[in-house]
Amino acid sequence: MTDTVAPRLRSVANGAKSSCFALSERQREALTGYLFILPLFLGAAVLFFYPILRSFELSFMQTGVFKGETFVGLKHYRHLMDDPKMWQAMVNSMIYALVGLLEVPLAIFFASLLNTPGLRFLSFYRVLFFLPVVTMPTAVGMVWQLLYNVDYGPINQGLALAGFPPVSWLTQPVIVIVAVAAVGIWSGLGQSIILILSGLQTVPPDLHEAAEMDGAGPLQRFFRITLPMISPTIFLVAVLNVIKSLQVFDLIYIMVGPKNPVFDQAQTIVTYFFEVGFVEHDRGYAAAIVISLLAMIMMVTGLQFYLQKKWVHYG
Amino acid sequence: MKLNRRACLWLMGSAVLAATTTMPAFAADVTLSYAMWDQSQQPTFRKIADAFEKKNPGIKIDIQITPFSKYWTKLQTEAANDALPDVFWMNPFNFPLYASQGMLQPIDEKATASGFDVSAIPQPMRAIYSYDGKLYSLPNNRDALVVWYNRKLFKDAGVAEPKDGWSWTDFQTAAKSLTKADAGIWGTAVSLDFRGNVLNSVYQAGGTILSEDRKRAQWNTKEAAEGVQYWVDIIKAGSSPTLEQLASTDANSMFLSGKVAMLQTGSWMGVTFADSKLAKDEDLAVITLPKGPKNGASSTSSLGNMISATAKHPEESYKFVEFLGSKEAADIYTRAGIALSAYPEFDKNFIDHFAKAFDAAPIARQIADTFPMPVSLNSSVWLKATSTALTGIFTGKESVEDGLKKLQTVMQEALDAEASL
Amino acid sequence: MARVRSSESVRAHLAVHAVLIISALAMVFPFFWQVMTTFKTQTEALQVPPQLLPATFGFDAYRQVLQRIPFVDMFNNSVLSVVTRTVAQLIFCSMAGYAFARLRFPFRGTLFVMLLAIMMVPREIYLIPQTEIMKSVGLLDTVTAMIAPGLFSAFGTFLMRQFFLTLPESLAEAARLDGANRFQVFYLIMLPLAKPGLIALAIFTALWTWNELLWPLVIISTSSNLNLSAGISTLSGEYVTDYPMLMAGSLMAELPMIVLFLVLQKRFIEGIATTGMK
Repeated sequence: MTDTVAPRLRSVANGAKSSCFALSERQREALTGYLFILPLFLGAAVLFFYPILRSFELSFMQTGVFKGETFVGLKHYRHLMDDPKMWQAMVNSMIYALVGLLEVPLAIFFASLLNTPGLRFLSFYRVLFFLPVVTMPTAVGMVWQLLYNVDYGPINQGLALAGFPPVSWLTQPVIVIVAVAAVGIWSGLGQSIILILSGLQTVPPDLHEAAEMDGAGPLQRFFRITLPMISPTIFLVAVLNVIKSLQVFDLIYIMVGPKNPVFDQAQTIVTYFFEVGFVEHDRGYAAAIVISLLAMIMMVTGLQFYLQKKWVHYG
Repeated sequence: MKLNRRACLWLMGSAVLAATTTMPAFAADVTLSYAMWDQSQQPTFRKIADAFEKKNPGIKIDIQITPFSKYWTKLQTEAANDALPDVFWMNPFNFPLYASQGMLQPIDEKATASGFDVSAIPQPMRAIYSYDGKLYSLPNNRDALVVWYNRKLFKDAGVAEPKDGWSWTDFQTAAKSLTKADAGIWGTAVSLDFRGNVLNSVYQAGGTILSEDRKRAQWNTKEAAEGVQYWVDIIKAGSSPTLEQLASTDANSMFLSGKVAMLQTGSWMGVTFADSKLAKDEDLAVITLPKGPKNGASSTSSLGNMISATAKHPEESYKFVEFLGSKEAADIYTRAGIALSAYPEFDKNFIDHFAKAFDAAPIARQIADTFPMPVSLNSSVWLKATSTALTGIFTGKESVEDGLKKLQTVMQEALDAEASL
Repeated sequence: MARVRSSESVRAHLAVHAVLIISALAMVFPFFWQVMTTFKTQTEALQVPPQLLPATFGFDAYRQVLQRIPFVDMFNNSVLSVVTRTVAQLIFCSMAGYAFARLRFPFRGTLFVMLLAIMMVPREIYLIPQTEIMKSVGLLDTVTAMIAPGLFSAFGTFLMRQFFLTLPESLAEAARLDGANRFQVFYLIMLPLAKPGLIALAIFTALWTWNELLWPLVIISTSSNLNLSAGISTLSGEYVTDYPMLMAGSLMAELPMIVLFLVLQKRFIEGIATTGMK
């Protein structure tokens, strides 16, 4: 009761100041909030929400190749339940996302190194870590195919030196997903590093100095001060990472491709969606796949948002 | 901060420049959009378009390129929005889909009216781009499968070079003798390439994979099994790298690097192969396909030039399509070595183009012995199933019999589903 | 004491250098490979076992790129896209991000989740409806249509929200007590503090806009209206791709982004020093 009284009192005071709009303080705050998000939501409504709603609608329709729709209710969703390809794609996407999450600790590690005060050549290193981010996907695919090559690839040659048998990285069911996910990490690491670096800039240096005075070692300072301070950024990186992983498309096509014997087993939800919607021209079923994907990512993200309360500290 | 401002000014400057350059050209003329997917053919088609513009003042051709990997996504998006380009490239597999949905304009009447001799175009080419008894394109760019080989590897292994009319057995024996596993050299490479290998061998055994009416799958026939077995025998004999190896290193790369002695692939590889070290060392040669139990025919494909049903200028578009199918255009692209044409008199252009690199005459001979690619309304569904089945068979996880039995069921289901499209 | 500390930190710095150099090599190698490929002949590029260096260094591939595509037009389109989208996102996303972080209003959570949904579906689902929209307003095959969807970003909003959440709320409260209204708090207090976040957002917007491929290829037909990376992608073929040419084109498209990052990264690392935050 008490916490509602105070703002009301204040709003009365405010109301006295601007008498023509008798809005409470809370209403004013809400109004400001809506005004702040309005421009973004206007654009998004037309360009993004409408297409998503369209997909939702299509997922209940039997569709013609390019046009034409008839309502079929939950038919596509029932079909999804016993579509082995969908389940396979789902499992693959999960594996991909889990492996992809390794990017987060790696990014934290390298971002901290790249934030070492007084270290020479820092800008130079930062640019080197940024290079994979700007490299075109085709170039990335081409080079990594060479690196992974069974017969001539440097990775297998390295293994041979260490006395291990060659691994067929891109043509074995589960290994192929892990191998492609590793490339995903490689090419996305730079972006995550930038985000973490920007987060690190908000950690006031005097906090560190104070802790150092108190005798905290560098590792202690990192885990006790830096990590909690940048936890909102880490959370952002983790959520984006999962979303990115579940969206992987071009990389799979470039690295695996339809001539690969495990192409079928390497499908993720998004490549499967593309096959159904744009290769087999079944737009209705493809829409059902998208809506399921959306539901799945929503759940994972929801979980992340729920769990964040336990480890993310906001200022 | 100073540098910042200068950078900003520069950015703004470029922005303004970009804005002004994107203004539409001042045009009283008709401009036709012409969409294609192969940048490497752009210069040649520009030449053809120039010749057309010269002959037809007032019509301009704007060539628009989308890479093959995104071409069909774009086309589908445009079709759904009635925004297809005036004239655009089409391939045999996608043609029935677009024709059946009314996205294309048939050209029979216009061809008759303008007096174009349609019968000059070989029947297999016309068949590919006919739907419901109507012709939709005057196709150009004929291709066929041939066997490319490395003469040095033949000499090294003491194997005689192949001649027209050689047989499946000859191919298999040669592949075996050319293979030197310890040196990492294989006689041939059997990829997961239905169009390149199995489709042809099934036909050469006297079979087909799709009934004439495009309604029944034919994988359950003796001939189909025979055609698939031919390649399985080669793989079992160890004359080819495994599918895993080929997924890791592309067959073309292996061939160009002297790791594979014979490669059955398309005549379209000519331009790339002619430009290789292999050709410069005079080790590159090409020969017609080995004969199977019944014949030595190859599947043929060709390029369709389609007129959109919603084309803004149907008359001008037809004029351009007719020109693309004419002898004048054929003369230009055969000279560039891009492909053979509908007209045998220009075969010489093509052969001359490659004279320095290799003797291309066998390609012209093979094209005289071809059959149109089998397609149905929504071919991509069963093409994908075929790929899956062949993976199992080629990797030895499944017997030819079991694999084809399953494929027959899946392909038939796909064909049955087409009825509701 | 000071001397001991400094020799310790020198040793620590050496270790950091060692780790960074080794991992940077792994980061750079593919890029280096790409650069080498641009000088190779097609035969060399397809060679197995692969060769690291070309026999001779030729610049033919670069010349061909300039012949094949309207490079300057495409470059300008890319710059125009980057500038407009970055400006728009810096405004829209920082405002919305601030609202989601620090202002309370009904359905805040729901609206935020709706916004995130934009990122969660495959980009391909937007193609047909967005083309439909662009057609209805007569913008097919225009640079405006190519730019439009990127003016509004869920990612940018999420990024800014997280960033504002790391900033101490006490500052805002103090300013409010001093009589500043909410917009003033946002514009005068919070926005300057969020500079590293804004620069990160600018980098990302620029980067993604620059690399965008699918939407430009679908909405644009006339090659001189394409952006640069989509234009470069048209260099790949159906059966065979001229790798030296494709790699040369890619490299030419990548360089401006590398330069941009070089300029911006210093700025956003230094960001904190100039915000005067204590």
